[in-house]
Amino acid sequence: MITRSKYKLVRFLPLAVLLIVAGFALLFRNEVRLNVTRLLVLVPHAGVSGTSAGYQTILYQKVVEENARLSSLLSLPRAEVIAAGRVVAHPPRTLYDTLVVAIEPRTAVRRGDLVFFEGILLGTASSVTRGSTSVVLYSSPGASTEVKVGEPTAIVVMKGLGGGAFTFEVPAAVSLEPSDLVTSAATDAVIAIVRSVSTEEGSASVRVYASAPVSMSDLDLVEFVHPY
Amino acid sequence: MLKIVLSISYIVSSVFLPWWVTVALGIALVVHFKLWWVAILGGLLMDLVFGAPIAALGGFAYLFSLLFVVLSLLALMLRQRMLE
Repeated sequence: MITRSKYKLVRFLPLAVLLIVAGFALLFRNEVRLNVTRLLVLVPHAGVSGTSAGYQTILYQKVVEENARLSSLLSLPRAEVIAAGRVVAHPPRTLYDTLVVAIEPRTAVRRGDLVFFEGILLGTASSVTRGSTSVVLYSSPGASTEVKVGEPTAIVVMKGLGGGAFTFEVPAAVSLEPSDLVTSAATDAVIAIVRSVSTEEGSASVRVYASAPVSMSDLDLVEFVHPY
Repeated sequence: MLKIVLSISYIVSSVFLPWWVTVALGIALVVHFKLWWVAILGGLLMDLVFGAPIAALGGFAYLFSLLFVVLSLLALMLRQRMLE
């Protein structure tokens, strides 16, 4: 028979379970993240089965390392690709234009590293744990980056709107059309493609809307580069 | 039995399904089954795995945890008001 005092204790049981489990989860957040990322790697993605996806990631990482070694031997100027990773989660599974990328535990990826997909600059690594990293895309709401666009070339601050969309303002004197490329001011890598240009009569600037040139669902293997 | 199935589905969806599916299941858990602690745990799991500092929110990274905590408190308050 449940007495009054035992009933009071039982009422607080869910809260106690929540606090204990949450405490352990926060204490071992890196392990939680690593193990869930391992599960996500096994999920078929972009038409590739989970097990071969892991194998592909390892192969791609070896190709990246060999390419870097050969470029160094030949003294070829190139950005130093330090690691490759596989995108295991992207919007709409994640919120606010972020990616979860599975990486080899021994890689030298660190917070702030640039993330590329087939030469397109996507964003930066925001948090790195052993085996996985979160990438915040430049299209994430509130994110901003300096870009070059138009003729004559203007350097402007482009802001993310979410969903792969961007917006920025350029002086009216800058010639700009839909399908023009928007490149990073720091790396000259393509970040976005102009979709629409809206002008207001009498205004000295025009509002430009752009979008990422690649779909979130197409993101597969990405490369990490130290900022330069 | 339905509670257990829904709770497991919710936790699994928090990792493998789009976020809006998880939120819908979480709302059902909180409002109908009063399993607010499961909803908060699922939100915490989502934030630990997928969370990243969000510039639009001043670098806050635990959006889903906060969402389900607020939802649980709201459900509790409304339930008490309706019972009075």
